[in-house]
Amino acid sequence: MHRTLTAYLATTPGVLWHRAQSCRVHRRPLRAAAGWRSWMDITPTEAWMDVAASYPGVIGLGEHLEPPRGGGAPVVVIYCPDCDARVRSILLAPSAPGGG
Amino acid sequence: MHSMASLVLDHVFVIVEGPARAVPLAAAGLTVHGGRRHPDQGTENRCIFFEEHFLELLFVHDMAEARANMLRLDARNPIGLALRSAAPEPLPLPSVVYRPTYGAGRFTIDVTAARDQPLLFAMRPPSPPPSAWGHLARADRVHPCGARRIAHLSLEGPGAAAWAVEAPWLSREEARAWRLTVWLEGAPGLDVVVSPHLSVRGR
Repeated sequence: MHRTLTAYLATTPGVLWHRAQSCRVHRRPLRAAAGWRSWMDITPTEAWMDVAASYPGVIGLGEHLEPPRGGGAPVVVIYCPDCDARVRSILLAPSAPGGG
Repeated sequence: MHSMASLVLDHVFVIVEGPARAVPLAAAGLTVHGGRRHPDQGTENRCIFFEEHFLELLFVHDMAEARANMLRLDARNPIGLALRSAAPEPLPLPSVVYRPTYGAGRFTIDVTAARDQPLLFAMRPPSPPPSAWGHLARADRVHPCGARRIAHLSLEGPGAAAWAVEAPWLSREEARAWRLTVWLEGAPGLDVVVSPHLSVRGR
């Protein structure tokens, strides 16, 4: 996996944080996971661009984890677990009553 | 002119496209609460709580429900101001009574009717402040950016200057398009602006 990831990062332009070692927001090491390139990378909405600007290490609530329409090979997704957790806590539907 | 000096701000809502609009507020240091759904209203929210009031981001999660609901939150001015008063005063603008099913008969809401204007409304009986809500932790009302309360609301829009309302926490100004600025106390350099989309602005 490490060899694959290293090779992937070294040869594929445009991968999230191609050269970064840590999240610029949380200063924590980035993680890698198998996934698919996000459709949001191709057709970002204004709201999603605000999300990505706020927490740039987010992987996108399934957008990265589902194969693109029309097919496509899995890639390596680089993400910040803190960015991802923060965004998920806000975007996912509430599970408990209350809250205004 | 109807004086709202006796009324206090219960909460401000802003209709947004979805919960993603709350993410920049979290990044700016505001604690975003996970919110709830409003059955039969077709909406869901995310909230930023303070001791005495809150800012609510409201969005449609069920379009069919929203279209069937009398508030029509899918197709109206995106700004709402909720008032709180111990006295059963009528709203200072023409209003109707809304009986939300999620209220289970415990409360009704007086709401202004004009969809092209910000929604002005008041719960009967009035809702207690967030500091008295048992399901909220104190941490839900503490914000890393230092914000302690909504200090002031600046409302601009067509007809805003003619609103027959007056309150110390609200200023109104005539403008072609609706715009609301939420001034936060304790967070210098940070405002929440709705114009027409919600954003965070540095001063």
